[in-house]
Amino acid sequence: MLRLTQWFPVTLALAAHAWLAPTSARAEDKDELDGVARLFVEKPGTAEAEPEAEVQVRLKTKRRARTRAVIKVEGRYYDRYVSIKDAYLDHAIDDALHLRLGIDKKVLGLEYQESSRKRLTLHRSHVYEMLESLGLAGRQLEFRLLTRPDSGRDGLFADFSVGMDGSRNQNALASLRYRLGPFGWGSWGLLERHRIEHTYLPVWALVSSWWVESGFIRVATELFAGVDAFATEFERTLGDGHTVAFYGPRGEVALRFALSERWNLEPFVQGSLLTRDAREPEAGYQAQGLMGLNLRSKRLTFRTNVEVVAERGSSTSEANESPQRRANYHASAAFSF
Amino acid sequence: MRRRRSLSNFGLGLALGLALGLLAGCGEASSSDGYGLVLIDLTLTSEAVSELRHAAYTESPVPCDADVAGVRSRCQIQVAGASTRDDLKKNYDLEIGRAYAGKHRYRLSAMSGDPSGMRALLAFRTFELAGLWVPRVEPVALWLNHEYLGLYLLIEPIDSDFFSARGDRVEALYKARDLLATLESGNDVEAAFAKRADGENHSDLRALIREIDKAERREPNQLNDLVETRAVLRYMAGVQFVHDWDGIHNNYFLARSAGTPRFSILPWDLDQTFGNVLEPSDGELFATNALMRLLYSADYARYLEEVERFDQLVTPEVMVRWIDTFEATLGEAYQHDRFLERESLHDQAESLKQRAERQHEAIAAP
Repeated sequence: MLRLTQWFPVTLALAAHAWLAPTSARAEDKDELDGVARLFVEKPGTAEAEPEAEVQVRLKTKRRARTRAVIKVEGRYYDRYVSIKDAYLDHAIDDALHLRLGIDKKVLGLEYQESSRKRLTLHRSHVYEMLESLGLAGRQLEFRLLTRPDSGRDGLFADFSVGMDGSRNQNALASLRYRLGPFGWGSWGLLERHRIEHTYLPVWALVSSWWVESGFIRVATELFAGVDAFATEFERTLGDGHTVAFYGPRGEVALRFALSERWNLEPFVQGSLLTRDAREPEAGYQAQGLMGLNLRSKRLTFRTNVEVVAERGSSTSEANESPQRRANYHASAAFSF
Repeated sequence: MRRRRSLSNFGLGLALGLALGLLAGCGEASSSDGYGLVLIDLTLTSEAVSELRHAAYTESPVPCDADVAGVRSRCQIQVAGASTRDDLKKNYDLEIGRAYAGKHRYRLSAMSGDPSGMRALLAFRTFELAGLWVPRVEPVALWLNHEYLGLYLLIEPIDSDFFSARGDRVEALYKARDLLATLESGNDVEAAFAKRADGENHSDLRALIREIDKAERREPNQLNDLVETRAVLRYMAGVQFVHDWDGIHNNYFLARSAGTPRFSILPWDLDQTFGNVLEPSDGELFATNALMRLLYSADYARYLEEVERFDQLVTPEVMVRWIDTFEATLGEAYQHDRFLERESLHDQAESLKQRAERQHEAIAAP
């Protein structure tokens, strides 16, 4: 099923402008088509293993009037699902300053900042999945200002965006990052006017990350904190009215062994602990441990990992009063083009 | 050589760890519970949950896996409803790969206007007993990613299949929406009525509105050729009997079919019912719908017959029996629903029983 959001025609019209304007004289600006095709199987807990075949295609047009259109489409065979993930215009004011307008993901934290190809796991890691489930991360219509958007450079980077999603939540998101050789640091902050129960709720989230990355080892640690809008609204309407704020750390260590000139073996571990309600830490938490092994070449990546999640209660549900444990298994093969 | 061997040992150890982890996964038990009702257990990726959270107004469907009464299949889910989109406990439209009770598509109703969880069940059953076509409706326990979302109603959508399943063929079908479906003016008819069947373009609705207007001005008209008067009066009597104030200019379906070629009305979304007790003379209820207002004043005797018919079919004793059954059926799912657990289902049930008595007295009064 292909469903265009109500914002897409606007983006399309702007993209048409980018097509019709004079072409950039820069030799490195050209139409680009890239993407990834993935086959993966997931086995969540006791459920049957489920296969999926997924293709993501991203089209980046040639720059015209310093502006290029970027459209990313994702399709899944077994889900019978096709959707437009990204559709935005990128305008280069100069090499160091870009403006973006369109549908794009909210960049909140290191994992969103980096390319999904660089990610250790098939899906986002547990805390980031939590941010998505709480509606703090995801895709929206946004206007974004980026400094020095090319990855891999040393120096200070800053982004700022304002946006609104399809549930009419409005937000501002800013980040500051610094990279020096293998070392890096970054902080991301979100302020959101969250529409809920016919009113608006102020919501915030913060992510702070430190990382070391050389050819052989990657170590990243992060701290997360934020407001759970849905639990907070629940407390306001049916509970004691307190704001439900979560917090917790996350870490990952990955090694990279060169098996041959083309192939690398990448064993890794990840772990996180998230307290669901800062006011009552003992009432609910989620602990996650994951170990995995990736085999990578330039175009092919084979991933496999086992994840164990332990969860106790939540700030709003009494359904899980005793700790629950789940184990998930993922294996995937991806071809990048 | 030594380096290669240590690498392969490391890889072997990791593979063993992965296998052990997989086995640990196999030993885990499901935490979802139907609480005595049909269990609908949905699994969404976090990305899909995020898209669902971010698409209350754009209504984008997202992929999911569904376990409906033990049958697993792929599914798609999207936020549904109009004024309830911002609710904490949302309504959803669910499409499942493997049919449940012969259907692939369902509405999951959160019943936001009903603290008892049974009002829509009682109202649909009331309309059904009086001979109106109503969707198949069933209480379910809805889970999403190991979290109990609460007591929901699984409601068959009113669409072409709805008529096919009842041996009929739909010719025109419109859903009243956004508090606009007053049948007063043809200007905003597309906004007031969503087309739910192929082949029609609101022209028949415009014709209906024109004839209602003529009839209100006492000019010669062909309203009787367009409206199944008895069926509409029966719907109106049901609306009055259960006090479905939301079904006057908002939540109802206008339909024509091969079996019933003139317009009749089907009830929909009945959670906002059984509020006040109305007397048959409370014609103000129909003030916001031109057709109902006209029929109420022009055909009051037949309207009264229909109201009395409801009262004879759904006596207070019948209502008490239904309420007791639903109280027993819904009890566990209700107690675990975090939106309802602070209410007393028994108190809600008693209140509905008392209302049934009062409604009967209001109709029986001379």
